[in-house]
Amino acid sequence: MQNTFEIELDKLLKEYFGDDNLCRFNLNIDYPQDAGDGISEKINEFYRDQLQIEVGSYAERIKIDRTITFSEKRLEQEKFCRFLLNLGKICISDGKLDLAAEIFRKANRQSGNITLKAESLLGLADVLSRRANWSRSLDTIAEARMLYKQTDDKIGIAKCENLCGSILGEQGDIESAQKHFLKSLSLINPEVDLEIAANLETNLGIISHIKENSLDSLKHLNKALMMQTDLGNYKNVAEVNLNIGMVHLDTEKYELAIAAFDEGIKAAKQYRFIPVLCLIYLAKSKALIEMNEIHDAVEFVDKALEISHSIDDKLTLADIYKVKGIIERHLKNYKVSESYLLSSLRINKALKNEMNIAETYLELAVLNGELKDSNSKDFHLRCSLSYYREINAASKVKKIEEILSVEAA
Amino acid sequence: MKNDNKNIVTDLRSLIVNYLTEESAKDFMKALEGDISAGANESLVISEQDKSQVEYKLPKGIDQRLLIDKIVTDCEKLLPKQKYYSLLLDLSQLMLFAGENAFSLEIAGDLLNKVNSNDEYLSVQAETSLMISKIHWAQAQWDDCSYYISEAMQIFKSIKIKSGIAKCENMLGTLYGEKGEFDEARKHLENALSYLNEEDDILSHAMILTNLGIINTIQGDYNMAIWNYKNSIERFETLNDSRRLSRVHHNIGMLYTRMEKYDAALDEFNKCITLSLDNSYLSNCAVAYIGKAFIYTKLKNPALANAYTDKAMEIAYKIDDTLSIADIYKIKGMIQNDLENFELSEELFENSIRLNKDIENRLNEAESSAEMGKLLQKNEREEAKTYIDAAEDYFKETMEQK
Repeated sequence: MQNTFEIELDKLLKEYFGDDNLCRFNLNIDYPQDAGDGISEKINEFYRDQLQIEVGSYAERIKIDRTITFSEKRLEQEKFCRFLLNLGKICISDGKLDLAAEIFRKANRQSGNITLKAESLLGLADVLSRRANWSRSLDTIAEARMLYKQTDDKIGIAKCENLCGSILGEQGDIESAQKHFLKSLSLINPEVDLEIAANLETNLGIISHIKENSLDSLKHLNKALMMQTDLGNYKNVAEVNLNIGMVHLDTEKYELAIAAFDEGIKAAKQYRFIPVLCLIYLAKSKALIEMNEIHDAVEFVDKALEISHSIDDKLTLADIYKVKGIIERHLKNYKVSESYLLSSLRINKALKNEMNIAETYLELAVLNGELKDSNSKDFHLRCSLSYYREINAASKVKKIEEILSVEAA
Repeated sequence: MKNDNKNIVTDLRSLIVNYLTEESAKDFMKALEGDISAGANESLVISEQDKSQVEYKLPKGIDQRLLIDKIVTDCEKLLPKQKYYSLLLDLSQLMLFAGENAFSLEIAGDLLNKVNSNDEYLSVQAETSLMISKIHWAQAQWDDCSYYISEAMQIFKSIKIKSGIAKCENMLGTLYGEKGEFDEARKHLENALSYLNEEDDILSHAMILTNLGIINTIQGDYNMAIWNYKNSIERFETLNDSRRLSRVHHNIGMLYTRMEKYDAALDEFNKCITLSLDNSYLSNCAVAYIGKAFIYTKLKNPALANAYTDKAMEIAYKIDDTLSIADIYKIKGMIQNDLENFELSEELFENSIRLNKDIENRLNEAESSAEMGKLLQKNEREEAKTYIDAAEDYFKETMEQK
């Protein structure tokens, strides 16, 4: 039975398509009914435990509101603003991005101190970047950088460079991202500024991974893991484990990948780093697909879907659609698979995420290949190739060129 | 099942000890773990209708998103551009009604990127900017709201679309009204009417009349407000626009509340909730639930008032409606005041006042200050005067603006 929302939607679509049954048929591809609806009974106890997490309870907002009101009355202004900055960071790691933005804006309004104002802008830029609002995030970083420059705060500028690099990396501009990370590194003393140095090691590890240098990547990431553990930054430990797992996944060492993801899930759940937890669920789903454990892969990707929507992580959502497309292809639901892949492509294009665009085109080509549609396959391969060329992914370019030359022969 | 997930309270505890003395932090954390509905849930007697309202299960946003994403993707190939853009605007509005603000903004934002700097689609560009302004308005993000209204206004003026200018004026009226600047709000709403050709744009006309009704209610001109609402209802009924009709029922409920006709007000809120639930108008439910909670407080039924504030909080949190959250704290404060939990009541009023200050909502700040003043007066606290004076000054100013 249709719910009220679906009835409304039907009404709206009729305005655009009339009662044309053909169009309704086109739009009415059934999605699995249980998408995002809790965890299946068939999953094993360990996985069930991994997937048990509650995100987005309003009771927590009440606690945060009460804490702010209480602290505002008792702390002197500068201390209160500093407190807000830390609270904003907690909200980010809990996936409460709206509230985090509200808190950073409040800190910015109420602080008279240049450094604190810059910190609050950087926090806001972080929130904006997590929502893939790249241009506003970069503008906000520029504002923060200007303030840091006024006080010659090198660490502050290094943080700005680091965030800029992360944004460019998310967009697939790896060379520029690396330049920003190296610039950031040049501004700090890695022996003293341990926290930012550890974050930079992680980011450099990610860059090496994208450049397909897995040994160098693992070198950076293992160093980062050690540093984050020594610092007691267990949230970041989760993030590093995610990236180590991704390197193993891409080098087809699936058992090692799963082991790293499991470590990551443990830390992200225990220390509540929800955006990273969402990414690890997705990554684990990818590994499970490779290991042909499709049923379990569905559970992990659906949990990631639920979280990514609730924390408004569009970039991850687009990637989730791609993975769902792959899963549906494995299940031979080709129409549904194509639909997910096209949605992924559309969102990635809107977010200008070149690497994910290339990957999704490649998946569409794989689907076309399975359907023996060689024209579409060729078209999607060429699209993928041009995006991979743009981001200088040499081995991918070589691999696609080989496929195309075999096809042509 | 064992659940060793770390709660956010643990993070708060580790943070707060760095800023307060150990003793003070310990006391606060103990209070924080306490229930802000203390004592209010006892002896809850509930009618079938109220039960179905407070037990309403919120729809899963992700289920809606899966459907809409598919439509957005597929229709790009199926529809001509102009029609596709118009569909995107409608979908963005639909998601805003459903309380999926981030998704609504994503759809509208993507549309704006598609039509930006393309002179062929200037009116779509303006309509989309206006849509984005509404999304920011719904989240009390006034600066962003104002920015997008001026973007839309500029384009509508350049292409001389009077109905568009009227919509922008209406939106400006809504923005000023929400911030409690009623003089300015009325000016813009009247400007909006002057740009409209009533017969051609019944919907905008009805919306402006509704907004004038709200201003007249707040400024105590109840007869005029009733006239406004009666006229807007006729128009929304002609258009078969159940969602906006439900909003008018909410506003009439607010009017009766001010007139202390609580039974009539409850009837209107119930009409509003029934229509809103039938039409997936989640954001409207939150305000109507708050309206009912307020009346149950006045009728000395703290258990029911508390049940409604809890449900309203659940919705307001989901749709990031800070304005409603601030209002909920006020009512929760009133409930605790009635239960003579004065300390908790004071803290809840403080939350409401602080949030209203943060989002620059002067009217609600004054209302919460008035409640705080009454509480402190009851407890013979000398700070009472500050709150009462602040509230009175604002109400006097509001009435003078008439």
